[in-house]
Amino acid sequence: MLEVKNLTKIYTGRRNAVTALQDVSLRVKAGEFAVVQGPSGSGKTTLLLTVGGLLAPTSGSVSIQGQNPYALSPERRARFCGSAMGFVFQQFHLVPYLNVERNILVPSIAIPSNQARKRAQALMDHFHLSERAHHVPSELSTGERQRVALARALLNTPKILLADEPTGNLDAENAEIVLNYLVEFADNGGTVLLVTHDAHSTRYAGKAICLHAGHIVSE
Amino acid sequence: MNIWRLVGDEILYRKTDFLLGVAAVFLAVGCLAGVSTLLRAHSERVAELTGQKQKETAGMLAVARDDYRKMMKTMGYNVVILNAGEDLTEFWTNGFASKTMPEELVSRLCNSNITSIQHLLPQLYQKILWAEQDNCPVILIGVRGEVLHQQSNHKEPMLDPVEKDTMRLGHALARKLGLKSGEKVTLLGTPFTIAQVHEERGNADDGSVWIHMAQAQVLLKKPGQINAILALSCLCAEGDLNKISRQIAAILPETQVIHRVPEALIRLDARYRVAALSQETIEKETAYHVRAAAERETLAAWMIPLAILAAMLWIGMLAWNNVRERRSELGVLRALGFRARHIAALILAKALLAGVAGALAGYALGFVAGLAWSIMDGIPLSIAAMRSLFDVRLLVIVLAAAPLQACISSWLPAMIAAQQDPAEILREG
Ligand SMILES: Nc1ncnc2c1ncn2[C@@H]1O[C@H](COP(=O)(O)OP(=O)(O)OP(=O)(O)O)[C@@H](O)[C@H]1O
Ligand SMILES: [Mg+2]
Repeated sequence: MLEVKNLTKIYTGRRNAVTALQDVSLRVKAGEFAVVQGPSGSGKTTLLLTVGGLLAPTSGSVSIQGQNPYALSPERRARFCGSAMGFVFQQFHLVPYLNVERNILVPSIAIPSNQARKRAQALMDHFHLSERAHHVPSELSTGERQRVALARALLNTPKILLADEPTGNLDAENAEIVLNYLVEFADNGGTVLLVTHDAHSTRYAGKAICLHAGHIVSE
Repeated sequence: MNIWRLVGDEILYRKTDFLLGVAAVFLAVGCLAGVSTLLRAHSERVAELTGQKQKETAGMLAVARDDYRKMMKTMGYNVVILNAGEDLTEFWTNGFASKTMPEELVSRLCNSNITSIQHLLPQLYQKILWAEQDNCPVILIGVRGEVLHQQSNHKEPMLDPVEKDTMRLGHALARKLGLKSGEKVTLLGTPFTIAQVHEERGNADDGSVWIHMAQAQVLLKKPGQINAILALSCLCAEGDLNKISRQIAAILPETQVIHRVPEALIRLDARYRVAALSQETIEKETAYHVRAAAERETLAAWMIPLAILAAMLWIGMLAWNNVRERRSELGVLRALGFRARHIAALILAKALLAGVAGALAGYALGFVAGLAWSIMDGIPLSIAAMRSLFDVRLLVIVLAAAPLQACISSWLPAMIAAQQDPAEILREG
């Protein structure tokens, strides 16, 4: 479960301050698939990074499974967020020189587990990537790449998935595949927070939130 | 999956980058190993030559000393010190000196620090007619024991002193007069016992009579006087007779010196010259190696630090470039749970591997190049010599130092990478 309360994030740049989030509160329960939809620049990525423990808010609180990650030391926060949450990005952000299997295994370097290899194999099977296990990202289709990213995000069996425009680079068919996996994750008790400018994705969501210029305008 | 696998795959992915880093370490270590091998080769050659020189010198000196000893045994005393007023024409025609000088000159000479002569033997001798033996003409020689010169290291006297009231006879004289060892005779009114009859010597000695110095001075009425000091020139002064004359003249200005220079001595001198020449050759070669080593050392003194510095800068630049190129990758890794130290470790591990690889390759090639250079510098190298030049200690040092320095060079880029804000990177897409 994730919850943010009265979240405000002000970027204090060199010239002027930009308020990216203003008094945002939201709560996504286990088994819930929430979509935050909003135009470009509305603060979607900012919200996701703040929830993901990578960007400290200016004010307000973040609670992940009841734990405020920003109350932890950077070292412990990285560990906590790395095991509690998985990220999926629009650009996939796969490691270009690692093959599919190793890309999926990367999180196990930071958070070692002796189940990692078995888990990676299971994920490859699940995402139909086993044939591609020894290929590097440049040899994959975009759909395959995003499935690798999804598998990587799930390696540490997180309870929460954070996705930033995961279908932005995909065709309709592959977008649907990915979104169905997210639905499946939520159906299995996971928490999904997906941010997108694309209204289409909201069809899969159990909960749709509209963000505009840093404010939540509708829920 | 561990960090090394990630580093390994990254190295394979950016091969050229990594090889450029290895090349920098390789060049620096290569310079170091090459020059060090060369310097060791020179210094081992110097040691070898020095050993050879010492052995040759010792050998030659031993031969020369042996020759000298043999020669002197047959030659006897070869330096004669006479009164300065002695007329040498008379000396040669008479066979003895007519002028006398005080006996105390011997002790003066003896107490001096003269180095060119040894085995001082004062004598008083004169041709007389032996009244008790039908006025037979003989050379009467008064001797006292040989005076050992304080600087001398030849402690064994060449001649035994003659006891008082005894005499020794030359071979020819004893035969002519029919005298034998142990018989009692009278000489100028004084009784003597014949202590010894010498073997035939083939010179004036065969017609001489030796008695104790003090008794000779009484018989010849020359108390406290001698007319010659015999001596043996030192090995060191051989071939430089002027040196002997000069030294003696400085101590005993009232004397003059006669040398008897045997042919054998000239041969000995020639041998010394050969020895000196060979020594000179060895010395020249030694000097060449010392000079060459010094030259190479000066070269190394600035070249090696420069190479190391250049390599460090180069590796630092490569690391910095690598960090920039991998900005988004490193940001994503942070989002996947990597801590700052993991990110730094990725950069430093790569530098470490470049250091190890460069050090190994650099040492191997540097060693071979050093051997080749040594041979070009005229050092003969056997397989065993090459093996002895292989410096395990240096290899261990470079294997430790090169990776360490590579890490130091990459330290700043690694720290910067570790401090990068993942949020900023991820927002950039
Ligand atoms: N480091 C920064 N300094 C100043 N302003 C920033 C910074 N990062 C983001 N912003 C601003 O904050 C606002 C929110 O940005 P954010 O990236 O969260 O938008 P977004 O909704 O994800 O947009 P998009 O759909 O284009 O990805 C924008 O106006 C952006 O210009
Ligand atoms: Mg965005």
